Amino acid sequence: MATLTQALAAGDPEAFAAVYDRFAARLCAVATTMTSSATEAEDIVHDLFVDLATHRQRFARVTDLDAYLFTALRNAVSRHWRRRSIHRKAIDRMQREHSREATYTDQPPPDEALAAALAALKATQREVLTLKIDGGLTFAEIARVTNTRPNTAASRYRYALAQLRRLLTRTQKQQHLREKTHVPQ
Amino acid sequence: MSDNDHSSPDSRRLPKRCDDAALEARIAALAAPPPIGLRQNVLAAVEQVLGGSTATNSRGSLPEREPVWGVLAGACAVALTLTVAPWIAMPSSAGQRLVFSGSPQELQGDRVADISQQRDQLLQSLASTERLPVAFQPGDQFQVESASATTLRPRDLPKFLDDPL
Repeated sequence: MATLTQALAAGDPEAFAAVYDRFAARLCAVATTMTSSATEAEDIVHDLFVDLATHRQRFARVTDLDAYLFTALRNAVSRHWRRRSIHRKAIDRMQREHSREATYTDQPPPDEALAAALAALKATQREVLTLKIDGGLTFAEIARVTNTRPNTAASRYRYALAQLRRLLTRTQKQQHLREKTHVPQ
Repeated sequence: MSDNDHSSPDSRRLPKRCDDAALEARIAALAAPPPIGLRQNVLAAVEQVLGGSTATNSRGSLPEREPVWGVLAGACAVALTLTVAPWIAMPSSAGQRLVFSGSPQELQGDRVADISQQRDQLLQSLASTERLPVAFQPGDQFQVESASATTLRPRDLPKFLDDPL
């Protein structure tokens, strides 16, 4: 790890490629869940790596690369949210749908109900869920990334799962009700 | 769930649900792999940053100068007009120069050369992503809404090329 961070600090392109190969899927997954947009997530990850390269000397002081990268990602998402306008958001949603159709045609259909429920969670809950599940971080690492205590991170995680389950149940009931209402005579 | 549900100490003792693992698996399954082209775009942009600063240092001038992408960040949220203008051209490998008419301070000194070099590198990246042929014509103008330091990244350039003013 120390060797990798030293290589990153020295500006070794192969080190950045290694970091991309190791972390990109997780970073993209977390960013996608946090923004509810695959397109925005790709932009954020792209910008994140550019920022990492620009400020690469900071890697010399990094001891926990996972926590550093996901903290940087979290900050990048926050900056992205600040910049994003309502108009831009609408366009990106459309692009996202188009992109998914175009890019992932060989993938199974996404779990729309779950995606909608995730999007309906509080940002802090969604964040801790995706950092744990998609990012693969421990609660201690999540606490470092989100600047909280491990117990707080664990609690948020439990509440988020409970809330998610509640939202899914509600959606199922609504769907069931609609189906009953529209039964042909 | 109400706010009370989140803050109540008792609610923190919720028993572990046996279907948590199933729900976590569903969430994990939502994650799609990054697009194949993203790796190439990201690493090309990283090399732009790394290469730009290396070139600056090799000249021994302004070692602390911010990278060209940093210069572009200074133009954040400003609409820049890119013009290929042969009438101010200096010889370069492509025989064309980019002019940032929206930020006159960026037209001075070696930064113009740096930007031009980046244009060439961007075009090389475009070639590798099968987005070429892309041809700048003298007098062509492109509107760029700069939202970040990486506005001119390869993956974005084609849409600007498709959208001449």
